[in-house]
Amino acid sequence: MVRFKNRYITVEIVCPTVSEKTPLQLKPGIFHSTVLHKVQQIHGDFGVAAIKSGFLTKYCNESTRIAIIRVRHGPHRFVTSSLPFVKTIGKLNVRLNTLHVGATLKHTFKFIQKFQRAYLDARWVKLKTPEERQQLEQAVLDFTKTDVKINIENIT
Amino acid sequence: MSSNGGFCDLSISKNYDIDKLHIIEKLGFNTIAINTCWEEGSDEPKKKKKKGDTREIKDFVPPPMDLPKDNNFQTKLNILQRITIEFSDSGIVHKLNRSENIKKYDIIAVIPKTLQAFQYACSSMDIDIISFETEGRIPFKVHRKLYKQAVDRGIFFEIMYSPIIRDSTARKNIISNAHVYHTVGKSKNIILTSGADNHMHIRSVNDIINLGFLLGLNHNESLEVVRNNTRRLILKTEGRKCGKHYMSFSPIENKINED
Repeated sequence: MVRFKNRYITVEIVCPTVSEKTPLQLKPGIFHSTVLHKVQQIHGDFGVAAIKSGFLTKYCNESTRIAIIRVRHGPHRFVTSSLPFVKTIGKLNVRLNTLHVGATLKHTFKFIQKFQRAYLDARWVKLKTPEERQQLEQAVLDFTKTDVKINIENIT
Repeated sequence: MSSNGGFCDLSISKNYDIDKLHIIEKLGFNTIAINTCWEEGSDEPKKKKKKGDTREIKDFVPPPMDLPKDNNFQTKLNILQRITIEFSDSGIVHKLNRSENIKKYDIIAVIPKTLQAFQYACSSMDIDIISFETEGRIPFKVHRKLYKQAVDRGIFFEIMYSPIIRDSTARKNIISNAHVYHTVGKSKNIILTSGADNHMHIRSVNDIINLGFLLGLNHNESLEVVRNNTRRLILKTEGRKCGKHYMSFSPIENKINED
């Protein structure tokens, strides 16, 4: 059986102007259009056409600032090579930090969970009351915005 | 200077905010080099006026940047000093030989402006890195023979990536220069450095490897560019300072104090 191969790129959005304590809110769709625009700028019409089928972005966690990009295997190189060029999203100055490139959503989520655990541990040290800690845990491990189910249904 | 450098970024601009060094550390780097630029021509007119005077002993090379030594300034990074010299003919070697300051630098890089200068740099100059100006194309044709000669002598060719991120014309120039290196010398002995003066223009190791795709490197080559080549370069610079050697001794007591 020949499978339709994908690559899942996990990206951290680093934005020093917004402090770590407040969640970084972005308008829906703005991250998607930024990435597409950058690919257009670097690789031109061909690059955009090559990645367009099956291209999907999700900004999934506002407190850890993680986004997932799904692209077809092969042209994913167009995306990975243009990610370092992203300087702004909307009016925010940002830097994109590629964390992981995986072949299946399962492994990508495993990685993300590990990453978020590490993030949580780092933040917990600074908080004192258990209530605050619980709140943060909920915020960090919140996957509802990702719509994982919908994502998986789309693929299979 | 420890030789297990890890991931290196061998050109951080002198203007970079020293308080933001921890960001580089977070991105996965272990060794950085702070760059000082010096253009040969800039001191020329002064020198000619005073040729008869005794003032000729003056050191042309600027001294390296001082690093603060107080307790607030603590990083795990290895910090090296690097100088970049722009020159156009071989007369420069006399100035360099006379200079005392140049011995304070760990890494010496040059930007040859003419073919003659490039020839000289590849064949007989005692340097570590050959770089090019980010504003323009290389103003001469790079010959395969010279490139090979430089590779044999262990000289590295530098590509800076932060101007690529900054603006479009520099992007075109640098990518085309990188492709010249690819066609002429199969991208041997290339190092990728940032050349950044702002922490927003530094990218993590993963992203640099992805950038290699644009610069005519495949995945393995770009990994080598970031990791192995820089390590070889650092070993070579150490060799230039001490002469040929196979091992070095260092007292252990210092290490205990550091811990």
